[in-house]
Amino acid sequence: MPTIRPALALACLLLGDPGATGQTPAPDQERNPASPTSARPTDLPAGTVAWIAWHDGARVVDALEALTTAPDLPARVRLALGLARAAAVGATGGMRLEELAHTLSPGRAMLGLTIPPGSDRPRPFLIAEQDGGDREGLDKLLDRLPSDVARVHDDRYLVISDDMAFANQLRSDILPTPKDEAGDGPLLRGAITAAALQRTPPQREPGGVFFLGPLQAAFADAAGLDFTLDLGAEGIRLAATLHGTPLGRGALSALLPHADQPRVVPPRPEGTLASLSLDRSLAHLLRARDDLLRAGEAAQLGGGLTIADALSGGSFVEGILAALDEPFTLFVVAHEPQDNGALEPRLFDLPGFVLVAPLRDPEDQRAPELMQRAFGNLMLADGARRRQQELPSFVTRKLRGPGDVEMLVGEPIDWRGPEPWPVETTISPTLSVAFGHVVLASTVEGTRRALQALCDAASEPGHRADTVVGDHAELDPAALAAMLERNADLLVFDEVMKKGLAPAKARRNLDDLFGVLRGLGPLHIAVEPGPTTTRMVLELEVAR
Amino acid sequence: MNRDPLAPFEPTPREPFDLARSGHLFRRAGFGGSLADRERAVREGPAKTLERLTGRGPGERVDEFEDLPIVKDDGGASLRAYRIWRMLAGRHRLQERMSHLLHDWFATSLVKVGQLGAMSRQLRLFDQLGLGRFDELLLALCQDPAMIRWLDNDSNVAGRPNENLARELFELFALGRGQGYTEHDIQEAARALTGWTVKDQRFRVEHRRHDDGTKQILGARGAFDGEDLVRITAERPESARFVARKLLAFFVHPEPADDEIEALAARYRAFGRDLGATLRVLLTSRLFFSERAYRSRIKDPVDLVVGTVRNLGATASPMDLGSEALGMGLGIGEPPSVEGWAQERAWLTSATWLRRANFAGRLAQGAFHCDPAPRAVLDGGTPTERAEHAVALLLDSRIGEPSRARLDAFLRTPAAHDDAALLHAVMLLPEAQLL
Amino acid sequence: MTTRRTFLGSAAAVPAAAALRLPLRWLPDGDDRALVVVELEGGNDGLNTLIPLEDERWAKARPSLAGVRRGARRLPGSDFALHASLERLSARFERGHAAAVHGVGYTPPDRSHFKSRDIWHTADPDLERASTSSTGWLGRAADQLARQGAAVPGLAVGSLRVPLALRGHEVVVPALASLEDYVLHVSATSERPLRALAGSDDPSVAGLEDLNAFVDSVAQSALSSEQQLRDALARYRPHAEFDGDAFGRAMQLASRVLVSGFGTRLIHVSLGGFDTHANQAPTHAALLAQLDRGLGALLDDLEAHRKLDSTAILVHSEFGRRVAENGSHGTDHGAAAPVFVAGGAVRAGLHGEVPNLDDLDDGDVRATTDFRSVYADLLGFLGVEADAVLRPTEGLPERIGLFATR
Repeated sequence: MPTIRPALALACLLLGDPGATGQTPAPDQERNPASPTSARPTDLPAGTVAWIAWHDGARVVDALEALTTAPDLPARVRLALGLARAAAVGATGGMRLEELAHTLSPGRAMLGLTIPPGSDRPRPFLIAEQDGGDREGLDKLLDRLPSDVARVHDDRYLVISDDMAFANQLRSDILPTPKDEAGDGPLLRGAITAAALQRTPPQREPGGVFFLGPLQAAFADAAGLDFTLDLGAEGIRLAATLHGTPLGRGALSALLPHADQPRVVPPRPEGTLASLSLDRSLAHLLRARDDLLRAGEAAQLGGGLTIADALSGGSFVEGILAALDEPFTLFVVAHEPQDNGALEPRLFDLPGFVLVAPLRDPEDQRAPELMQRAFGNLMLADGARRRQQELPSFVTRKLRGPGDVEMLVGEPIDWRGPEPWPVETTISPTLSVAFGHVVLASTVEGTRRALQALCDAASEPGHRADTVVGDHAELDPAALAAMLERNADLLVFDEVMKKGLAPAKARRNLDDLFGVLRGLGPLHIAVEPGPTTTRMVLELEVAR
Repeated sequence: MNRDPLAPFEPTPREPFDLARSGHLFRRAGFGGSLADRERAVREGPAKTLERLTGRGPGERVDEFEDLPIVKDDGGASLRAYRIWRMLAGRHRLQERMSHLLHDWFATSLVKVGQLGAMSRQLRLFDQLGLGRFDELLLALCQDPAMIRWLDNDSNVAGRPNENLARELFELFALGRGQGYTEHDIQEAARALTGWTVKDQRFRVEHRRHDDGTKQILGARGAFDGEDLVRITAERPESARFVARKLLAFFVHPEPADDEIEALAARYRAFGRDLGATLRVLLTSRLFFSERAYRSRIKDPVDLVVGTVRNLGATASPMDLGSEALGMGLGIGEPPSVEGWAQERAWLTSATWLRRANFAGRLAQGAFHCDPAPRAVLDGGTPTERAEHAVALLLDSRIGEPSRARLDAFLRTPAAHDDAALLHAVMLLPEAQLL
Repeated sequence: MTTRRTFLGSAAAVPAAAALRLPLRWLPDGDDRALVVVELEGGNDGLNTLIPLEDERWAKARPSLAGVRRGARRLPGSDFALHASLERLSARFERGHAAAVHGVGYTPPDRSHFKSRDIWHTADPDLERASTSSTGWLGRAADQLARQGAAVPGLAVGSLRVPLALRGHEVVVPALASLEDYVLHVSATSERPLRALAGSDDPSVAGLEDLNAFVDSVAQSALSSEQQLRDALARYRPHAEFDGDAFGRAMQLASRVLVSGFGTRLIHVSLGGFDTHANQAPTHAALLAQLDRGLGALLDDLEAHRKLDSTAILVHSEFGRRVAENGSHGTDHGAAAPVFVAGGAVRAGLHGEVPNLDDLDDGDVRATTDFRSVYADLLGFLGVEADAVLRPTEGLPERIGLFATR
């Protein structure tokens, strides 16, 4: 059995050693216990696939606590969060998280998951340094643990696992290490090893390949992933580095048209709730479908393409997609309730979904023509189907948008019936080509706003476009909450039907959710591939 | 001895109003009920209990979603869930039972009607009129957009009559097959219904397409329209017997005897065709509480899923329960034909039995968002005590000798220490399939 | 007095009761012939599936839809071609494993989906309206097979709903959306006690009039057939790749049931979406490709398991479509259309009289073959008495000779 030196790993983590990526140990590798910063991750127990380490649990919990004290969080929400914290340690018999944190780990601590060689069952372990903590409280806590939990406990360390021999082994291998400067560095650090990354099953569904395929290719021979979690007054930041790259991997890499180069993203329409810009080429997925997908799904996709080709009267992939500078950027734009005059109230305020993509050649006439034809035919075909099923159907019209740009709109025909407008009549598929871009949206309003943003950018002298690398997503939780609140009645109905709650309780739950969302600032997620590593960042601001 | 089968039930020491009779009343008139409710019923007696199962103050809203149209394009899942939710959570339980009966009686399917809104309005109509006068209900149904589409009355026009609605009105809705009408009556009745159609999803009479000539229907003569037709039909003695048989078969026994039918038909006529008043007599009668009625029906899938959850005193996901019932063969909103579902023994086949058994097992494990989790419902104690509690919750504290012997054998195995397995066992006893 | 309900009620009791007395056995020796019915819901355009390549009337009536000639797969020695999507089916024609019958339908045709579907399912062209007491042709065949001892003679695969075709007098045919539905799910520790409790064969509850005894008999038959199915499926190894969509999964389930030797002889599968009123060409091509992959995989799997000769597959739809295309590049409801029959025992090639496109019934193809003739041949193949199943009022419809006589 390889030597285990968990304490070294602890130390190097807390001191911020960038080499601590938690790789599976090579048994014969050398270590120098006296110099933690030079310690290699070989000090983790054999087969460790993931771990999280922190210093001073109380500090972590207090920081989390601070995050939940946003001023307009309802008391109920704080209570709910408190309960959730308590539930998270249900195994301790109901001890509150704060209490637990203060008792358990005044020093350094680490939670890990090991898959022992020759086994398939993950084995969790916890090592916590007992730096003058509450001994009595700890004993009480340990008493409440289920009897099959293995624990080793002395003045210096607490080791918990599900196997006594393993726990003993861990304890005996701990080497005392110097303490770091408490309170500095990230709140939490952790790593997932190559072994665990490689256990993720490969994606073969079209959606899975498109969204996750490249990242998974990077997992396949990444040296590991390490991350830090930090909390500050402004919010929370989770930053991770994958020691691997999706670039240079044949068919899958070709899904990333811009690789690690910056690309321009279209201007944000006003009222954007969320935006998503994945650097992916749909054209490439469709072209390489036989290589990337299972035979049946590739064939199904091929069938779909035949339809798309027929609708556009040309090649969907080569005629339309190839003419666009992929990727598309998706904006979710709030639907502002407006007075529809004679129209009855609509049942559901669906936001607008807007796809924007630049044309490779702004002078291109052919591709817009194919798109318009496909759009018109699709409306026609769907209209025929819907009329037959006596559902409200769509008629195609031309409207003028910002900058006197023409918009092709599938408008729901007038709805007459005892009920308000069905959900589908809140949708008006709209296509427009202007300012060197194609805009395809689920509502006229969404198109107008996207066009307005493009128009403003075009007319503003010296306008500097935003650029990004890789995948970016943004979400405005408060605006999302406002949109959801307008649909609260239907959401309550859905909640009651799904869970059988009393309606009043379902409404309270939703109010709580809205409260939490309102207390949050923008959420950003980015995945940026580089030549050797991939950077992933999640930032959530707290509204103050 | 009183020979009237509908004479009021008077509890005696030999025939007490015990947990079994109270359980029977809750199942038949209210989709089951919690043990606490059923025990209170034992204290309060049948009359007071029926009042609780029926009562609704004037102007009281039926439920929070009454005004919320269910027009989601989800293949009817929301509609099923909404109906199940009312059965689970509604306080006016007899009304829900009646609506359940009427959906089978006037079976209309979304599959042909195609419009969720119209379908859900037909079911609401049952809620509103189900305990009122039968002739008013019948008229409302002949003017119901879903029914008009379902039985093609939108193509029933003067000169080209479509007999579909007229035929079913006699055969399946109001008189019974071959009960006092002829083919000629059907043709004439169809003429009376000409021009009753749907416009913008609302009922509408198109006078230009109505045949206003003289008709001869069930012995009466005149320039009848649909309203006259319904009145004439509902006044027939065959109709009273037909309605009585329907009520008896649903609430009491699947094969009612002739004297029972006659007795109930007489009450129904005396009450001016008021279904609610007729039912109140029936549900407090000796007949209703007789051994002949007790567990004389096979639970339909909705009885099973809703009744089990209610008896556990729990709530659960209406969406899940609706699709479970669908899997067992009863898709609310989509009966297989205008004759409704094949009832009683036809519900149980190897495949549907397995579905019922698996539903029971998953429910016992706490699936379907069941709250409280069933295993938490049993009080502590020895396996035998907990088994007694489970039998009280689910089976009226009354099971036959063979079931008792099997349960005892089960209690001798280690599985009896697992509350979920214990509840599953009780739900696998044959009595659990009986209504 | 026997009402419809009580009649049905007691009828439903029969198989369960029979199951108590009859040993639930494997296939009756040497009689493992099975039929898979694939129903194309919505009205498949037969004229663009089995294409009359040389018929100018066809091409003229369909100015935009005649484009399917490109890439169509001509059947050797004939003037007909299969749609380009039907690649694997066309290979089966060449290997002598597939046949088509021209102009199958009934007279007068009914153009309502519901009515026409009910007519095909009940095998009753005079049907006024299906009722709960209506039975289907496969259900009546299942009744016969049950009497021969098949525990689960018929199955509706891939759906929660049993189609009218499978409704019998005596046997209640189950629907199997997935195999999970036909397994009793219990934990390992409680499995034995719970099975003993539910399936107890208790002599003290013998009288079938007792509802408890009825429930018990159903439970016992369920538990024993469930066990058989599990044992049977444990032996199945796939030899073909099926699509992951609903139709592919249903076809694979059908294959699993057939090759595992469970004893099921009749299987019904549906594929929807054929109601192509507008922009038909691409939709139809995709649907036929989906059909072809499912059918092809099923045939491959059956062949690898040596079941091809003992299985017949019928592909039909409730009606064909109008000869002339409509204004939105689609076709409207029509009448007669070809059906396909595949399997190792089928007499491959084209059967029946080619409908005359000059002699139309209100714009639709007239039936040249009574659909019950196809049924009769299939029932003959199964060894089921066609007379009892089809209940002809004026003698059995003429046979086509789709199978060599046994």
